[in-house]
Amino acid sequence: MNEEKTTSPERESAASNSASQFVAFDELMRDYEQNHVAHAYIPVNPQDEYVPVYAVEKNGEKLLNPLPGSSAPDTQFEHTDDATAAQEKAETADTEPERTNEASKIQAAEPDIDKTTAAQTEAETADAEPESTDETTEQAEIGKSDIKPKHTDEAPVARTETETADLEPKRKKATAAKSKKRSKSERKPLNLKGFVTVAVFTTIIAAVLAANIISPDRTHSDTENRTLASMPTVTFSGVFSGSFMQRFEGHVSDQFIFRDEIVSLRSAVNRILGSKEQNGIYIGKSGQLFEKQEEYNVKKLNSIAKSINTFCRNNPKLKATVFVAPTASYILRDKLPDFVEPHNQKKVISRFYGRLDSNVETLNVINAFEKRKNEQKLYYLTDHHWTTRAAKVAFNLLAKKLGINTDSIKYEYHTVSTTFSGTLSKASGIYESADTIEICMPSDSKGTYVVKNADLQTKETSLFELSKLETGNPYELFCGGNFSRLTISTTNRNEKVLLVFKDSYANCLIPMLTPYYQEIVVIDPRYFTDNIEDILSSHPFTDVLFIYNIDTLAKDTSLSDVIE
Amino acid sequence: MVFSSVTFLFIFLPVTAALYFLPSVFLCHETGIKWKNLVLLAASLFFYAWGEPLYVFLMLISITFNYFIGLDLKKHSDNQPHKRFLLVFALVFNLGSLAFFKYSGFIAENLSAVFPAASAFDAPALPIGISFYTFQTLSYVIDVYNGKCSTQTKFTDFALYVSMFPQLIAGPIVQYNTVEAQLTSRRETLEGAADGIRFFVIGLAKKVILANTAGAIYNEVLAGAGEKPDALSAWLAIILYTFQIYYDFSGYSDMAIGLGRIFGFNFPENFRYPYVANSVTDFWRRWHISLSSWFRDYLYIPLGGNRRSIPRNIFNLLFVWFMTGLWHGASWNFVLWGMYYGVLLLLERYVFAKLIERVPQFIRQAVVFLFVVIGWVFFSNASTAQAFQMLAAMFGANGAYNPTAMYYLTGNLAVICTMAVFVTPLFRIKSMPQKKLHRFVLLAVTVVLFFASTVCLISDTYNPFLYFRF
Repeated sequence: MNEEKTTSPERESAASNSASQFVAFDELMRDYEQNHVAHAYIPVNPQDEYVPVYAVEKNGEKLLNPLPGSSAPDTQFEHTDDATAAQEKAETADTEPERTNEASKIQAAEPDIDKTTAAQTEAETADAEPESTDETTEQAEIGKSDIKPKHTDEAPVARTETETADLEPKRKKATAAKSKKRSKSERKPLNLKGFVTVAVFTTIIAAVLAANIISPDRTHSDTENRTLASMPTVTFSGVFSGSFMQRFEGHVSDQFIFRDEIVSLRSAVNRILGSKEQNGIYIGKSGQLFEKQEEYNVKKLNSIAKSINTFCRNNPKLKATVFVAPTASYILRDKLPDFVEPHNQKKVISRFYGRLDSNVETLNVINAFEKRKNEQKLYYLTDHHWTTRAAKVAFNLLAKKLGINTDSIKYEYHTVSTTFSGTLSKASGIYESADTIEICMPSDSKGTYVVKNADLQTKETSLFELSKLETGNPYELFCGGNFSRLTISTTNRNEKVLLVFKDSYANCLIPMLTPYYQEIVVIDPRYFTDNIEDILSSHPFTDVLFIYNIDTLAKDTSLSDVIE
Repeated sequence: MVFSSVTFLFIFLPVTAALYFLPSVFLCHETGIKWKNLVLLAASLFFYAWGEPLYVFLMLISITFNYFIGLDLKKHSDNQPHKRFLLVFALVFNLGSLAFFKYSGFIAENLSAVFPAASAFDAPALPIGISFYTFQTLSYVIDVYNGKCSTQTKFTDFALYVSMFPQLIAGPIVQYNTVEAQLTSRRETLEGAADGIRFFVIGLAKKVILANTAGAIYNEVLAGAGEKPDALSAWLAIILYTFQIYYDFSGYSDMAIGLGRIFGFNFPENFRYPYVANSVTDFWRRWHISLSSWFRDYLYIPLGGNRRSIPRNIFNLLFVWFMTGLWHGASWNFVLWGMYYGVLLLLERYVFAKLIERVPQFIRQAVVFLFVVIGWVFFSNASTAQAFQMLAAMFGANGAYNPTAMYYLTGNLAVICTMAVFVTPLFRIKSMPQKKLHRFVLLAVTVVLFFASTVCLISDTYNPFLYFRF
C-alpha cells in the first residue's frame, strides 16, 4: 500500500493523460491483482496476443502524436518483410506482436524518410530493422512492466521526431516508403488485400437484394397454408406506432427468394444434427410424425364427464354412448423418439369413463388397436388423425354399443389419394413420407341420404367432398371439413335418430353410420353457437353419441358449454 | 432494427454502404468525410427510429443536451466552479432520464410496499439502447470535464458518436476518447472492410445459429422439465443459457465491431473468450470489457479504487458491483447477480488469493466456469425465489434424472458440443493466413456461415397456419 501511495499522483496524471482504453484497462488488472499476484500485469494467457487494434493506434498516438488516418485494420494482418524480424522479437517477448509491429513500423519508417531520398537501397532497408526491433522490445517491456512511467519517459523522444514535419505529408511519405520497401519494382501503392472477400460479399448481398426486388410477390404459400405478408402501405400512424416496420419486416422475410427451399434445408440440417423434433412435432421412427404431448388436464376431463352426466340425466330418453379414441402417440409409442415418455392414455381414458354414470355406454378400443397396430396402418404418418381403417375397427366395436346390426351391410374401401401430406408435415416442414387416404362407405349407399350443412346452407348427396383433395388440407374431404351442424337425412324409416357430438376424428366414421338411422345430426361444439335445446326439441332423437380423441377432449372447452 | 434481421442484412446495410462509399467510388477521398459522416448519421437515426419511432426524439434531446454541455465546458474552461456545476447538471440529467425510463417502474414497485399509491405508477416502456448511449454521453461529458478529450464542436459529428448504429443498441460502449480522432479522420480500406465482414459474419453466426438455437432448446428443456426440474434438466438448461447469453451478446458485439470496421472505425473489443477465464477477476476482464472498463474508469477509480483503506476498497467493489448488476436490468435478481460477483471478487482478492495461485490452471478454469454458470441462475430467473428453486433443482432437490432431459440432451448433443468448442479459443483466427489455400478456406467458411445464418433467419419465420385442433 505504501508503495502505491507514493506513486499514485504520477499514476493519476498518467491516467488522465492517457487516451488509451488499453492502458486504462491495464490499470484495472493491476488494481484488481496487485495485492496478491506477483506480476501485476501479464496477459492472462501468454499466448493470447489477440488484443484490440485500437490500443495500437492509441499507443501510437500517445507516442507519436496522432497520424491522421492511421487506421489500424488495414495493417492488422500485415506481415511485411520489414516487420518480420521485429515480429519474431515481439513474439518471443510474449506481447502482442501485431500491434507492436504496427507501431514500430510507423516509427521505423519515419526516420527513414527524413534521412533518405526516394532512391532506396537494400542497405537502408536493413538499416531500418534494428531500429524497429528496438522499438518493439521497448514496447514489449512496456507491456510487461509498469506502463505509464514508460510512456511519459518515452513520449518526448518520439515527439521530437514527429513534430518537425507536417503530419499529413508525412503520412503519405511513410506509406510511399513502405510500399517501396515491400517491392522495388511495384510502384503503385494500391492495396488490394481483402478485395476478394469484399467483392464476394458485395456480390452476394447485391444479388439477393436484386433478386428479391425482381421476383414477383407471392400472395399465398401452399407449404405454410397461409396468406403471405404483402408490402404494407406507409401511414403516419403505422410508422409512429411501429406497426409499419413490423409488417415491412414480415413482408421481407415472407417474400424472400427460395423461402420454401430454405425452410426445408434448415429442417434437413437440424435432423442431420440429431434433432428429433421440428416446430413442436416429434420426428418418430420409420417416418412417423407425432404431435408433441402436453400433460392431460385431469380436472378439465372430470368436469367434461360431469357435463356429459348432466346432459344424459336431463335427457333420459336418449341412449348415450361415449367413445374416446386414443391417438398415435400412445398406440404407436414404440415409434416415438428415444427418451420421449408417452402419456398413459389407457389410464386417462379409463379414469374418464369411470367418472361417467353407469347407464352411459363407453367404448375402449385400445386393446383392439394394440392387436392390429402391426398389421394395419391405424394412424397417418404425416397427419394427427387416425386412418379410415382405424375408424372402421372402432366402428365395428361401436356398433355393438349402439345396438345396431351391421351383418347385412357390406363396406367398400376406395383409395382417393396416395400423396397426402397432413398437418404434421405442414407444421414441421417435413414432407418425406406421403400417406394414402382411403374412404370407407357402405356399399350401395349412394343416393340414400342427403346432407344439410347449417353453416354453408347447402344440400349434398355425399359425405365425401373429393374436391378437398386439391386443397391445403385434404382430410377435409371427410364431411367437407368441420361444421357446426350437419343434418343427414336418410331413406331409412326405422325411427332411429342419432345425435352426435364430435371432433374431427369422427369425420371419417360418420359415413359408416348412415345405413342404420333415419336421421343423424352431427354437432361440432367448437363451432356450435345455437341453442342445443332447440335442436333437441326439433328432432325425435333416440340415441346420443360422443366421439372425441383424447387430445382434443382434454383441451376442449366447448363441449361443456354446449351441452350444459 | 436489429442486425440479425433480413431487412438489415439485405436492404438497410447494402443501401447504407452504397451511399457511404459513393465518394470513394468517385475518388474524392479528401472531401468525402463530411458526406460519409452525414450518411452514417442519417442511417443511424433511421436505424434507431425503425425500432423506436418515438424514442428517437428522446435520443436527439439527449444528444443536443450533451452537445451544449460540451460547448459550455469548453467556453468556461477556466471557471472550475461553473464546470463543476455543468458536470453535476449533466450527470443529473443523463442519469435522471436513465432512471426515469429504465428504473421508475422498479422504484415504484419497491416503493409500493411502503406507499401503496406508488403501485398506480404507469412505468414508461424502456427505450432500446438507452443504457448504452447514456453511458457514452456520460463518458464524453466526464472526459471533457477532466480534459481527457476536447469538446466536439460539430453537432453532426457528436450526434454520430452517440447514435452510430453499429454500437447503438447493444454496445460495445465506446468511450468518446477512443473514437474522437476517427470521427474526423479515418481511412476505410479494402482490408479493413474484409476484416469487418469476417467479424460481422462470425458475430451473425454466433447470434443466429448458436445463440438462437441455444435459447430455443433452453426454453424447451425448461418447459419439458415442468414445475420441478430434475438435476439433469436444470443443469442442461442453465448450461444452454450460459451459451446463449455469451453467443448472443458477444455475437452482437462482433457484428458491431465488424460494421464499425467496414466504415473505418475501430471499436474496443468487448469479449475475449470469457468462459476460459482462470479467475473471477479474469472473467470480468474478458466479459463485456467495455462495460467493466466504463465502471472502472467512471465509478471505481473516482471512488478511490483500492488506493484508500481496505474497508473503503471493499465498499467500492461492492458498490460498483451493485451498480453493474443494476445496469443489466431493473430487477432485484440482476442486483443479486452483481453482488454475487462483488463478493466473489472480494473473496478472491482478500481470502483465497494465496490458495488460488497454487491451484493448477485447468482446475481454476473449471471452478471459475462453475461459478459463472451459477451466476447465470440469478441472471436468468426473474425472481429470487425462482433462482433459488433452480439452484436447489441443480443440486438434486427434485431427483437426478428424467427421460425428458435425456431426450433433449441426446437430440441436441452435436449442437451443444459445437457451442462448447467455440467458447474456447481453439479455433481462433489469430491473423490472416499466409497461404493462399488457407485464405480461400477462410473466405469459404465465412461465406458458408453467412449463408447458414440467412437460412436460420428465414426459417425462424416459418409460421405455418394449421388447423391443428380440428
